[in-house]
Amino acid sequence: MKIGRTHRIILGITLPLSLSLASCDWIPYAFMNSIPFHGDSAKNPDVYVYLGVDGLSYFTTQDAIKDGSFSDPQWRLAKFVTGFPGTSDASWTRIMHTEELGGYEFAYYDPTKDTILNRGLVGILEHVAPSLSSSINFEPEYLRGFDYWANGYSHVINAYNDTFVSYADSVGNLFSLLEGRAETATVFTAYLVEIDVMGHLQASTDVSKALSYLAKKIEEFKRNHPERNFHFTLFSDHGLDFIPVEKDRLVKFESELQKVGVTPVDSIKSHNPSAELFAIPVVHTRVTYMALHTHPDLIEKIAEKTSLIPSVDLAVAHLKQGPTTAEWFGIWKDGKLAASFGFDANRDLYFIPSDAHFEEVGLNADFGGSSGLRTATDQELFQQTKNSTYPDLFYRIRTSLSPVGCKFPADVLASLKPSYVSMGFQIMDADTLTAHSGFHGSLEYRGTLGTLLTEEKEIPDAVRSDTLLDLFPRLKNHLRDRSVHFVEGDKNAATE
Amino acid sequence: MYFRNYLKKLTGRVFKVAVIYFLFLFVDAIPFSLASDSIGFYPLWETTGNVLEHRRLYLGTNGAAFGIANTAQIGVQPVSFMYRAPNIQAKFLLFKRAPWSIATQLGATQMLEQASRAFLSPMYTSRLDNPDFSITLLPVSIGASYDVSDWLQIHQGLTGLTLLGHGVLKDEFTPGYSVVAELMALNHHSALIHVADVGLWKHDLTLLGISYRYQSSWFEFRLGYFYRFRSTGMQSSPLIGFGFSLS
Repeated sequence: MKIGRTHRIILGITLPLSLSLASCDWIPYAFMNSIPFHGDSAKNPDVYVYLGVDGLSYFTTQDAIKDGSFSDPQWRLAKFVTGFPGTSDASWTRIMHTEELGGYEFAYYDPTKDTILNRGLVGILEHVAPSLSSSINFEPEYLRGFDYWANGYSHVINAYNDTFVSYADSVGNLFSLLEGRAETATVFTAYLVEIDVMGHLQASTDVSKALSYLAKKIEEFKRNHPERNFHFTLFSDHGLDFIPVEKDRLVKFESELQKVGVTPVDSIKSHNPSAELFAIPVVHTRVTYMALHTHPDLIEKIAEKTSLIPSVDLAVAHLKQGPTTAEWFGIWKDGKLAASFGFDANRDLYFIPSDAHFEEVGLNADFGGSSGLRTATDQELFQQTKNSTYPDLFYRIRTSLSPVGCKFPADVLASLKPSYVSMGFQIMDADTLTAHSGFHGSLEYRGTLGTLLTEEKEIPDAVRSDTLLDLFPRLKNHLRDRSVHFVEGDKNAATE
Repeated sequence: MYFRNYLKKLTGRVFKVAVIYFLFLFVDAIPFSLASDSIGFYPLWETTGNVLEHRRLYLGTNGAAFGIANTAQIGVQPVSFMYRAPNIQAKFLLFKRAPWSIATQLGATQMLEQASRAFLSPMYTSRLDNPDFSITLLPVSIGASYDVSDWLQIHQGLTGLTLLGHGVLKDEFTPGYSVVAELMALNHHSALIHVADVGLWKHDLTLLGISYRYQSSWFEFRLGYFYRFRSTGMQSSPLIGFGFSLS
């Protein structure tokens, strides 16, 4: 058989393309999702649905409820107090108790190699690169906990390129899958990314409307499936401040550090701590915090200097020494150590100097006593801080500087003032695809308070996100069924 | 800056390759008669009234089949076969007189445990989840292909799918009807419109798709996009196929 030149060229182009695509998943995806089937509803009369909604702020959910969504009396809403820094990957990792990340985001400093990994474009590409297989996969471990988290190879790009279209696709696919899975399963988990993207690029009213659309679909689904009782729970990984950023408040941290006398560097080992003040800033996406790594001898000084940067609200770091043998933490504001506290992990007990001025860090709590130290339980502090400017301040600072959810926590963390945002890494001048209308990451309540909305059970008015799996054991068991390796996290996370 | 230049170069190259490719496709004027589709494109619910010629072997991603005596063909769905769903199909020509061609197809697929989780990429999910139980699918269909003219062929398929759930899923029978309009342009190319209803009087889903088919004397390439509408949700995805016709 003679093959002509034209056909050789066509073959040369189409064959590799076809082989690579066809050998993937489109054919079985079409085949398996076209099989009609039914289970026996008597075997699983109750189905528990857990929706991880990225970036769903507590206040957005409140707005949707005010507009009439989730109006049935069985729905209960709680402030979901998420970890610091409030970035998606670090936060989901902690919530789902999955394998630790290197840092708080894809880009992180590895002290064993003394270098920043996944810096810049590499880290960004890891965000959008499709998972071609379970082994060629850049996605973080927590996504394995969700039965559904993507519509296909281009989902993440679509989510940023046309968020509302992608959202409609995702919600449609979600309920199509749920309808099938509910025929045999008692638990279904799904992850939606678009609400977070909307929060970064759209107004809060748009996000609230998108949530109302989801609420409508949930009610519609339940009405269409009276054969089973569906119990939905929505939870998110952080809040969103919905403060659009002005160009002059996009902070380039490298230059800001220089202004306060700190040299931004790429390596710690190649610098002398007795000769210069230096730190490695980890810049990745547009967030309202900054992670810094430095030499152990310089930690407190770097925290102090960082707190002098006009855009920085608070800087937090370990203290080298405290009044007790416990682990001590400092909070710097405007170049001064504004407050400190200690923590004894064995007794799950906090130590607070009686003369501490926590009002300087937005906390109007009376820690009493005229001299020495006052002790406070984790539960007491959670209750006192849950409605403050900096919810769950003590636990969140303490765990942010510990290897909880990440292998290499920062030495110093700077929480930015509202309306200031770290510029982050930029791909060309792609501003239209870059966050500009809402942010998260800082210690402040707006970026911190996510949503916990459930019709499964009674819940307290505020829940620490690290305890979600204890509150919902069915979800915890489901993760185990999905072969997700459970990592304990902070052993003192429980608030009760 | 470097990345921007690189991206420009890359985009330019991809564009050039695409232009050359489509140029070749559309100016190709070698006389050629498009062979009738004997397998269908969308899995499970589409069929045609045609069978392969005697001793012609078609090896493709959406079907592999062998023609016997111009009246029958036997084959498998190879991708599903590799995804823990071994299967077999046999098709018999019932009637052939221009412009009609009618055939019946019998099939059997055993979805082994975990077949629903055999996707390569975790970015694809199946509604059906069979981690610890198997499923048997027994589709029977009648397909009719009708040559309306030299540029239009209509393929219809009436399928009855019996599902045996082995104690986990209910054993059930689901009917389905599909119709595909194939618009045969030029010598090697056709554009297809696909519509199907699964369930009919006990409606389950509606399929709507479009696709393109290129065929030479020995090579076939197909690319399409399909929607699956259900009462409570919708899915959509591309579908691709290629195959070699050997004799």
